Amino acid sequence: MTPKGLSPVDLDPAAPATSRRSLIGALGAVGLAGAAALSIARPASAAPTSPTEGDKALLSQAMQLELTAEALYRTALAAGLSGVGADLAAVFAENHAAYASEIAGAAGFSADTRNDEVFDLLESAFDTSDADAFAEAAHSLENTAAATHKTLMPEYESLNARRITASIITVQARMATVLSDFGGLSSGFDDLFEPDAEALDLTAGATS
Amino acid sequence: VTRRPVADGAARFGRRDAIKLGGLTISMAAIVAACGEDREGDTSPGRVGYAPPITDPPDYPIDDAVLLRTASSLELTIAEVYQTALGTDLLDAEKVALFERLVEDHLAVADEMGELTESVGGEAWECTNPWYMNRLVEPLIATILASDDPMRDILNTANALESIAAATHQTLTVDLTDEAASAATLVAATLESRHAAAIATAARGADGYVSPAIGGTGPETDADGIALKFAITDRFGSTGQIELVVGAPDVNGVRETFLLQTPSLNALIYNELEPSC
Repeated sequence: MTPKGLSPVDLDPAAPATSRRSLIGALGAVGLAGAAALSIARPASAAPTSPTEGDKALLSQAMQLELTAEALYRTALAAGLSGVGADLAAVFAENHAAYASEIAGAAGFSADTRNDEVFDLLESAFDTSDADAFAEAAHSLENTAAATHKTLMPEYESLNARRITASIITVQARMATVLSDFGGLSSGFDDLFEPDAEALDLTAGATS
Repeated sequence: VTRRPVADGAARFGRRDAIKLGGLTISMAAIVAACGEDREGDTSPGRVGYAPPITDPPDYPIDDAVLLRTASSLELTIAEVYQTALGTDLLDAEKVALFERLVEDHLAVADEMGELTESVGGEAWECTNPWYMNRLVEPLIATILASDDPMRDILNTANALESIAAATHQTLTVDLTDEAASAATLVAATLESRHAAAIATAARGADGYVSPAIGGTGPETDADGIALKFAITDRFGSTGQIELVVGAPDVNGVRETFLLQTPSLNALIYNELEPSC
């Protein structure tokens, strides 16, 4: 295994809130956290099965992130990625498309909009045929996506939103582990099993 | 009246046929009714051949403490399996380092689940899971130690155990009502998913990355007909049972099959259970 080094993907973490947008997002998160704290006291059986209106706003952001991930993998494929890297990119693109479709189906909207801000931020990192560069960018993306879903998880009120999100996170963790092996990115078990990844702040879009 | 075939192949019945069928139906109803009166004895479905007696699951309440105690027990059970594997001297240095880390992680998760159990008002469970130990682990280890390829079986077992542990936590994160406990189980589900993937890649490199079943083809098997394990087996985190084939073939070429499932009513560590260690 080789040292991980610096990630070429510099994603905007959820905290600290330094810009106006992230500050709005942080305020939105505080409001949602308050709602979640109230829901803790409810018995599980009282939780709604289908996504609530609050859930749908967050699920819409999660769905857009998944479509963005799919588009990024397709960017790498279009750039000429080949061999095992291309095989992984093709499967992972399909996985993210399936996540977007599942989220949209549960929430009752169409899976047709990606997050252009995130896509523009990461497009250049994925526009490569170099296997190592692809592995590094994709590894960072998967860990960030898993961390983002994990941050959203306690905000969801409905059982279906939570079930879907949990089933997505666990596979994204597996994808990140595969990419780590493929790119030789981990310098030890801490990197492999407890990678540093910060969640994207998607609540700004959800509350606007 | 003659029976005439109809266009779709079905037969049309006449009045005489209807009378015959009606009489037969009434006769059968009378026989069934007569047999149904004054019956005594066991009313459960009949059983053919030898099978162990069915154990009814306990009828105890299930709360967050029960779920967290069960999580602790599962973590300690898996750590026990790995410690047994480390004691066999079958693993090379790289695998020893991996398994030592896995043991460390499972013990840490078990401790965390124990602390959370106490935080929700329960008593931490510090033993393995008796159901899994009796029904799964003990026969599984015995089979592996007598295997024609114990190394293969240990790695396949570890991959399956991590996957079932991840699936268990994935389920618990939705079922638990305590928010801190729910968050902790999601972290554990993520960690153990990474474990499962790391074991598959350590065992088989790039060949073990993605199951072809995701693309719609059937599961792959090795030269001995044993299903290969992969880092990524499904598009979504599965909570279904996992089939694990281990051990040497018998005279008919059949190997032992174990079905791993997430804990259910019979494997939960209820608050009423006394520690078994």
